[in-house]
Amino acid sequence: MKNKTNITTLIDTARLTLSEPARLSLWQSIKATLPDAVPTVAVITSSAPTERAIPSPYFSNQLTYKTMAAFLILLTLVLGSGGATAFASDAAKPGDVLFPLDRALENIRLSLAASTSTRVALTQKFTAERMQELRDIINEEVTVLPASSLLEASSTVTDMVTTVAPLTITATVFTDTTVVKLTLNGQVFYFQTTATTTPDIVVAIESRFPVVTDTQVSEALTVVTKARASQPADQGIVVLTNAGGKRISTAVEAVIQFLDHTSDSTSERKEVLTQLATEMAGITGTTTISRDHDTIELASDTGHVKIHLDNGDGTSSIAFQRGATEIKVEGKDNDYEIHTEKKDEVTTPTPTQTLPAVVMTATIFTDTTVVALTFGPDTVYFSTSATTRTAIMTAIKEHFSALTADQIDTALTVATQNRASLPEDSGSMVIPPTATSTTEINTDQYRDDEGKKHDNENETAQDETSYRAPSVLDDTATVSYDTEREHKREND
Amino acid sequence: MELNDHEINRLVIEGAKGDAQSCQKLYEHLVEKVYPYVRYRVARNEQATDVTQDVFIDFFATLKAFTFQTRAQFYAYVFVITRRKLARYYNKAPHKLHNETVEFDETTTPQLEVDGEGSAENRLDVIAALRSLDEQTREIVVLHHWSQYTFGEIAQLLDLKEAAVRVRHHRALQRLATILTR
Repeated sequence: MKNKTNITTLIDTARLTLSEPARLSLWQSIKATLPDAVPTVAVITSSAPTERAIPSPYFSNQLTYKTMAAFLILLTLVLGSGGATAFASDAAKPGDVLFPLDRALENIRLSLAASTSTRVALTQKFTAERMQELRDIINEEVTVLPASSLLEASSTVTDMVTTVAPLTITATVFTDTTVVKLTLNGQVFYFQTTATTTPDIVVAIESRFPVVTDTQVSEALTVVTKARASQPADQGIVVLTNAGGKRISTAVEAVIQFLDHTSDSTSERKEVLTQLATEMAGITGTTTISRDHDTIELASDTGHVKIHLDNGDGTSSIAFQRGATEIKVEGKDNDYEIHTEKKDEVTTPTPTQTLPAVVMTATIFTDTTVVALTFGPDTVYFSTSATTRTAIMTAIKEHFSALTADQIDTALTVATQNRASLPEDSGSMVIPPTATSTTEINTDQYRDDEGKKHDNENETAQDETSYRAPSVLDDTATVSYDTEREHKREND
Repeated sequence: MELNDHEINRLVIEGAKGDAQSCQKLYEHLVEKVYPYVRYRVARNEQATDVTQDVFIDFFATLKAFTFQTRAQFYAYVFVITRRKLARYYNKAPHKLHNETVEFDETTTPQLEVDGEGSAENRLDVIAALRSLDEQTREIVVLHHWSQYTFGEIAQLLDLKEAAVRVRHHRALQRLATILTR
């Protein structure tokens, strides 16, 4: 076997770089776009000696000094806005900083569009981008934390070289809905669809995950039919953090502002959008954000936004309702239409599904700390060597990265027990005490959830399904399952 | 082009003011990191050049809003832009590419101006071997060996602990050694 140095050399020599001429050529192209760049290609100049044209990929017509000065002032004002300077390096995500900057550049392109047709085409393009960004953010922020995802997460904790397949898809067709579980590089996603046949399910998957190809979906997809209605355990547990909800509402606000900016027809639409934008900007987490099937709803006191990620035919839509007026953006790919409708009745927005609260209890035993997290009807357990509240919160965060520190701090209760932990403390099968002792289990064998025999629990060698007390030097944590859920899964 | 933290900070300040020379120095420093990563993530040299150009256009357009703090934070900022441009590229590509199945275009590489230091066959072997790794581990290998980021910088780019990055890298080399020496 070649040593590490040889392998490193092999990898290093496979590196692709730009040659000197290519690098210089690329720089010339980039340089032409710099704000004060002098054009290096032939440009059309006006007869006035004080004017010069500045070619740029961001503009569809030439600029004069007057318009360029106005542009620079506008760009400075936009880039100097609070949104742009709010960039935080540690928590930087693509949507947080670049949204307002992208919008600024888009607004400039729109305002400088040479013709109505160019403006319309750009509006279509940017509308599609806003919708895609909104879908992306929703898929990022609305995460699922079923017990099954912990199995995959714990496998990466104990073994860094994970063997989780890159893509696996299971579609379960129930009598009331079809639940698709997609595992992508260790991350688990659930969504529901009305599709019941394999081709329709493939279409539904590709509409949500455009980076996967037909071939990949077909190879990874397994369709299972169940002659019963779906249960919460089948659908996963949807969790949306306050920060995630705020990010979604920020993205919705971006769509509203964009529509407001590009609306130059009905004043009624503009008025509704302007007021909605103000309301969405004022949302600080008190607005109800819920998800049901493919719909996300955001409701304020007077406004209501409903986002459909998939209307069943590949189109997605976002509807803004304020009072009796509804503004709907609906479309597919780069083709979106905006409609304004008057509703006869004003419907009070009610969330169709509230997100379950998270309850966390950590019990510090003499040998380990057992943490129980309850999401609605489901409880999952894991053990950790942490013995302080701060360390326990860190351990919880490592297992459930979608939860914020504030959420964990609010929901966590820590208790101390001056005894060693027992299997029932972590949801494992309870071992009946012997007649001679109620506290010590030494000689009895017991059977775990799968019926395997084990010797007494003080043995250090145990299989994966039983509770294991981590050693002092072992920072990993094992996950055990709520027995009731395991029996239910086996019986399905 | 190697730059220390002080030089990067100065170039960012001057570049934000529109100084072309400062921008060029930043470009020369960053293109050696951006292009190899982008080239790995897209199918062809032309596409890699286009995406790299888009990255730098956005980078310089938003430089005024950026405040240099640390080198790792600076690289993370560029990495965010790079990832965003790649995401746009995937959404717009006529053929949909999964970010794990990078097609190595052997036919175009000899024609375009690339300066690989090894044979094309070696590159194909290494890229094929990289596919055996999970995505995050693959990213660590590419960012370390081709974009030449340190483990600490990669930890910030990928939001991991540096120790985890080192462990994954070490095990990746073991696995790659097994494959490449068959």
